[in-house]
Amino acid sequence: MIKSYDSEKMAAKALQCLAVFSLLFIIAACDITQRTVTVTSWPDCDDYKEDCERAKQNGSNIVYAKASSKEHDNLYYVFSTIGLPTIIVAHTKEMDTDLTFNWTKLMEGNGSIVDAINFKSPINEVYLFGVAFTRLLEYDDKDDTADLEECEKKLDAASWNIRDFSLFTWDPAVVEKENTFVFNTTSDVNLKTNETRNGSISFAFSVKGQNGRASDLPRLLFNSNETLFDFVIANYTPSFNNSRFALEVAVISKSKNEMDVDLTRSIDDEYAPGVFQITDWLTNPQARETSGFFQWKPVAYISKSRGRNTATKVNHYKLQDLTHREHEAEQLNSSVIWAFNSSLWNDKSVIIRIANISFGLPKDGFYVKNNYTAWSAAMGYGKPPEDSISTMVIIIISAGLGIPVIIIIFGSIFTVVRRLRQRATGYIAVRSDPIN
Amino acid sequence: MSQANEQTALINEDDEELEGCSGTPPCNPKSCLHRYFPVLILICFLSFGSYFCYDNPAALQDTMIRDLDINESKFMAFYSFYSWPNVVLCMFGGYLIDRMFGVRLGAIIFSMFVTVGQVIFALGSLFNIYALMCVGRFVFGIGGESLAVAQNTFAVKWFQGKELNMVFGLQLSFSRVGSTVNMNIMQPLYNLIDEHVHGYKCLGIALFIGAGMCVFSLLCAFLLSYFDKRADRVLKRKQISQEDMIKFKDILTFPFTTWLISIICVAYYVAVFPFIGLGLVFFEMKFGLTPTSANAVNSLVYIVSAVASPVFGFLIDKIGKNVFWVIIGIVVTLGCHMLLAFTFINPYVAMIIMGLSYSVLASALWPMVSLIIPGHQLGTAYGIMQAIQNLGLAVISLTAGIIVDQNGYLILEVFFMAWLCLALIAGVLLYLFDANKGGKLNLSAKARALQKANSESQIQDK
Repeated sequence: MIKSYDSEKMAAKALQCLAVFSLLFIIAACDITQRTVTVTSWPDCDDYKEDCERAKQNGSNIVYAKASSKEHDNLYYVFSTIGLPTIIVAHTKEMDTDLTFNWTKLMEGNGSIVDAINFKSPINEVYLFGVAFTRLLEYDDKDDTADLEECEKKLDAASWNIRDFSLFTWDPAVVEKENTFVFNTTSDVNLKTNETRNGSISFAFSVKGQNGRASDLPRLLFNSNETLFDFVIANYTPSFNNSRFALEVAVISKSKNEMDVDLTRSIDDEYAPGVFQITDWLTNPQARETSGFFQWKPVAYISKSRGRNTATKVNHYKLQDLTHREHEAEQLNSSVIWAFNSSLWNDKSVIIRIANISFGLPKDGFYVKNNYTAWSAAMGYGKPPEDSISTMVIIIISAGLGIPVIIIIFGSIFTVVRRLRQRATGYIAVRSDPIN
Repeated sequence: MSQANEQTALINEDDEELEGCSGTPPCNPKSCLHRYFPVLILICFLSFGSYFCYDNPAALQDTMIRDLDINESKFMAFYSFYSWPNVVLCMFGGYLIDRMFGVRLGAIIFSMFVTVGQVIFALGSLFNIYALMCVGRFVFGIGGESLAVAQNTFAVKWFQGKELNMVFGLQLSFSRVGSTVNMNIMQPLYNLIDEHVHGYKCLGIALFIGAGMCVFSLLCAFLLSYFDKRADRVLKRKQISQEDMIKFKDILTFPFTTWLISIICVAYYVAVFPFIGLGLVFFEMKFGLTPTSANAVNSLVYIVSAVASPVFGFLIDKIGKNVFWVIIGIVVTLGCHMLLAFTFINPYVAMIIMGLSYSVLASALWPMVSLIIPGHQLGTAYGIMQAIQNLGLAVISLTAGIIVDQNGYLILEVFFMAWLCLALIAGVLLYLFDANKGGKLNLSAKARALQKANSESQIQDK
């Protein structure tokens, strides 16, 4: 009897162990921490020599990155300056394949871009999501509000300088170590013929294959499902005395639910001093684990040396659909967003939202102060990473507040005990100066 | 004890006859009205000019940087040239008041330094000589902090055992009024002058108007000295003999509680003022306030304390129990920092409470020194306290800037909380040491009055 009882207990224990183990396994399976990243610029160029050469010359960049895991849970990134600066992320499960690029179709333009990008082998299930930068807004913030909505109401047309991203000419992208590369342009579409300017706009990408934290402020936490990027406007001669800049961004997702921008507040700003928020633009808030996100801390820097003194604010404005935005819709049509095989996008389950993101804080001296604005953000698949209070900070808090409390407690116990003992022994402390 | 001697002397000898106008209550040193008007008013205005001019650079920051064509760090040097020498100087200032000048001559001399310093500063601006301006700030600094010591000593001399806590509160509130008036009128004043004269010359003229305030305070110093001398004569206050005068080594014989009060002073002040210096961005970023409202929140401590300190001072005069109030002040401030660091509750709440607790602490803390240090050493004691406080503020402001840049505001807040905990430990120790010695500092007002009456009658009996 006793023996069987024992064995029952053991079995229960084993079951428990198994449950814990499988739970761990499930967590591990959902959260892939290590991916192998390969980055190629102008992929499949050898197959389309002529068209590809043309692309290289006129700044039609495509950088293809594949972040694959042992479990064949893969992410495929396409970064492109064709039409618009665009990033597309595709996620597939349980199979390992590659993307193919048809440069003839990519370079032809006029709607032929459809089906230019395809999977090598047929796939059954794919999630697609993309981010496209449609316009660069520059405005004369006369009242120093740094509020785009406010300025849209108040400012006349002469106070705006709006550049379509489709009109820029981009430098050829060079992939450097650590899977980083830059889309840079020194062209300015609003340049008058006799003017020369040496400003530049750039997107610097870094495809991640493991978990970590960016070394530059605002030191974004990242995981293996993400790409980090820096957007920099450097040395641009502003059009107005009180110029501020803003980006118009479109996010496209293969999902049905409404997108949402989540603001998470934290008391902890140890990684980015003075920044207490993180913004997540979720493509499908109902299924965070299986959809795309676009994440940033609401801080930009107005100098190359990033710090508390050079920080300014990043504001985002409400998400809008493309109903009254024919111009933007047209621009999107020329980007590589729709270059993916049309069967992969399903018209009925695609959602597009567009929003403005502005840089600046009242009294920060406007763009002209340093002629520089840099913003860091990340995009990726799955649940966006969340900062948590570091053990170091917890140790500091407990030491900084705990030790004094302990001293006070023990101090008072000591005094009380001493007094009681004095009273018990009938000893009275000699008062050095009883009166006055 | 010297207090008691004064009183007995008064009773035993014949009184001087005061005739005519000088016999009326406001002019009669024996009348309590005289103490409030004109003496208290003169004490308050004594340092008005110095507080007004101290923040001239801040009130004209953008204008100054533009007109003088200097950068931010050169601008900040105007404050460094004031504060760093004062880490040492006001200790000597206090010592000189006790040892050589006496409080009357001391007040006049330091007021002169303040005035001359501001004039040099203004001249430097008028001719656009940056170095001369720094010299001006340095000379101004020699006077400024020591003048505050003289002011404290005057306050104790006239109000000890009466409304001392309230007077200290009122002094505090006047210093705030001085800098607030400056903050609000300097720029409009500059704009007014700018219609006729431009650039650094305009700035120079605006600063000369600041110097006018210093002259006004100098006038107060003269008047106050006159009244003080007259009161000494009429009330036959005891003169300090040569042997009684403080020697430098007497500092070592200051009771241990003096040093505990100094520790509280520095540990508490560094947790409030360097925080306010860095508060603007914190309120904007963490609580999403606009720069204007962030600025308003940031100046709440000043505004609240300007109103509340005389009131709390008055209440503490009535209630007594100074050590208890000091500990309450520290604990409540600690709570405010916790609210700011660990919650998202509207910072208006925390900052108003912090302003109140700061007022309580300041009005209860400074008068305690006069209860443990005899009158002829008070200048030195206040000087030392001020010097330690200046050192703390200068060092901790720098450290806090570095901490926030590297580790953010959460750690900065923890850093300030640690200082407050230190202040709390010192406060508890102060209570214990004092209680061991008979609890002189923490007497209720009633007990204090009773004790005073007793000691007087004892002396009379002898």
